Amino acid sequence: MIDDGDLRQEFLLEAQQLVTDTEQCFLTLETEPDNPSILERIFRLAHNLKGSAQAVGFAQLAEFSHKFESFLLKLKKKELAITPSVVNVLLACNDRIGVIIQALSTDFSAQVPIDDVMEMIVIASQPPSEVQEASLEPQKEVIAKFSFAAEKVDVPKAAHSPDESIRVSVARVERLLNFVGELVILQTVLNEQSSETEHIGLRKTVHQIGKVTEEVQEISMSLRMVPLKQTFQKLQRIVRDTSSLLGKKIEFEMHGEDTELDKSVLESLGDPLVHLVRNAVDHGVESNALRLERGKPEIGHIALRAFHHGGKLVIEIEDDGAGLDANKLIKKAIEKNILPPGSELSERDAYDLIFASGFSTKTEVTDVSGRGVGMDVVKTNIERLQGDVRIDTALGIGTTFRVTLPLTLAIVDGMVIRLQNHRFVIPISHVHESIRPNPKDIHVVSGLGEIFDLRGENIPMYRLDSLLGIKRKAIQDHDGIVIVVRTRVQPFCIFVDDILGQQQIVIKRLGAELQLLEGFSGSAILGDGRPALILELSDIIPKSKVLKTNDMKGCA
Amino acid sequence: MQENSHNIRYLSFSLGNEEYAIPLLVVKEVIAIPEVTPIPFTPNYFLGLMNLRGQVISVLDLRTKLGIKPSTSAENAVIICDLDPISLGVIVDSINSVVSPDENELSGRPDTQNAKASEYITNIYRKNEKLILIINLAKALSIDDYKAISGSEKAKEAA
Repeated sequence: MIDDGDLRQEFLLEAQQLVTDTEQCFLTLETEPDNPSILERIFRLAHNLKGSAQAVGFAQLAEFSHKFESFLLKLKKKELAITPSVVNVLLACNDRIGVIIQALSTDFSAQVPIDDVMEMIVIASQPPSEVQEASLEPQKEVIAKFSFAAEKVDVPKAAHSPDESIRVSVARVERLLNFVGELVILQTVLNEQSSETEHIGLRKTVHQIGKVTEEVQEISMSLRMVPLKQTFQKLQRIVRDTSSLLGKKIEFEMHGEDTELDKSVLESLGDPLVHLVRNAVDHGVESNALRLERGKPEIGHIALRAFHHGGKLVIEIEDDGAGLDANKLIKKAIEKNILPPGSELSERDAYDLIFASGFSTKTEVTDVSGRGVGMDVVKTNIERLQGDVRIDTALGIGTTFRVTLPLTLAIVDGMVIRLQNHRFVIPISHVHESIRPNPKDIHVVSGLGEIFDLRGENIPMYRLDSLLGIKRKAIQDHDGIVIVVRTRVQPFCIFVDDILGQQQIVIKRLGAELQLLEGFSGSAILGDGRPALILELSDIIPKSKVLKTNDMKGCA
Repeated sequence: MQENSHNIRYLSFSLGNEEYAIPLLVVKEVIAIPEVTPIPFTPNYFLGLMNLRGQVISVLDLRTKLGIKPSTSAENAVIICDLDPISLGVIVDSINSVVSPDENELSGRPDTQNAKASEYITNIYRKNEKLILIINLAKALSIDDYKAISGSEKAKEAA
């Protein structure tokens, strides 16, 4: 027997997808109102939604999508012209369908008020009489344009061709990855063992299995990769809504929306990108009047680009707005007590000030960008993904935010370190360098703890055993290793017993029972099959100390 | 015997000199004590992390958690439990048997002074003059505490 609840859940998942698809179509429709194939596609999507909603017994959704469909039918029959206001109604309807689906996924009997949107449809459905007359002519035009539009039509058509894909739950993929990880570990063990055998045939087979294992690992990792398309579509919508809210005309272009990224990275990337794009619309691009005054094209321009570069994913958000003024930023930072008076910074450091918490260059907090989440959160979120964000700007010409991210968080290069008989993993990307210290370079400063003298640079040093509260007999300074970390504004270093080696590690998330644990980003299974914790070094160093050294930097 | 098929089945095990049982449904498997990696900053009943065929899970000592002295015989076992969404390894002294008590053999938890213990004991099964305490493992290990806190932390992040 098919479970009704399962069927409904399945439907809701699909419906969510439909809503995202239609949203994209509406946005395209606005720029290409004469493209008949897009309207055709929207109509089909709405029709599907209505049918399925009826089939699984979601009455309200079925009723609403029926009204929506009739409205679309009018557009299709050219009884109504496609104007920005009509597109607004369409988007509002689409959003409401999204809301209904959301509500239904938590409660199958949920009801969402829809009267206001229904009314919008009714109003929009009553066209001024002249539109109706005029609509006869464009109809001919459409026929004429049809052949000419044929090459453009290809895009939505291709998307509709039978899609050779299946939907698999993330949990299943993760289980597969667990076993693949195990396979890779066993492979390492097998390689070691077979190197001791004289049996040529056996060694050959082990080598071949090794190749296959590598391939299997690569393929299973790629299962987690998803295109950026949906995120980009969301951003397109945000540019549209934000710019119309602010009364700015902005042209938006995107490139590379098919670029793929690990699903887990993508999920945490959404919010920072939304913020950066909103910021570009609100603070970056000037108002149309001001642009004309400055001799720039009236319509602002924002470009969103994604591409792979050197094993990393790069996302650029470029605007042709006012750019950042280093001097203004510094002045502002001093006013806000972020910098001590009289500070001098390089231009690049000054640009980075916008990522400082409590910093906002616009005097009045707007509805659009000033919603609590600051640029500091953007930077922290991106850094949490082992990524980086840089600013390129030219005063009066524009600003580009360049976000660089690793392609996957599932596998990283890790450095395995030892502390007594404990082993921990540090992501290599966090390690700037590691040195066997000369004991005379380690200084104890009262009130500040230990300072390591790295070729003349004074860096606060922490001992991993005391950071982790592990009691042990101290080892001689010259027997240990100092690991220098520069992911933060302020570098710091960690004193450990030894480095055991480097290896590719498959990151496993910690269970819910350990979510409270700070200082560890996950665990990994090492070559001998035993788990080790992955250290998130910047989370375990005492925060107050870093602040103190920050102050020192400002005074210098 | 026919009736028994409707009864809930429990896995019974020893902690010190006492006998406890948990619903068989939460038990995934029973294994010998594996090698574990200790976890810093955790309470003393967190023994560490183990590798269960590629999955990393926490191993907890139920005896330490409940303040029961381990038995002298070193016949320990780890019960791998699925307390949705958490998978845990739970160390006990020894595994006894699968029991399936009749409704009338079960009695509710006694009213005692120890409110904490009576929270996780769901039923008492009297079997041949012996008492088997049926417990809610998630409550005995205070799982809700971790979940509640991690939930609020997520909420903070979302805000």
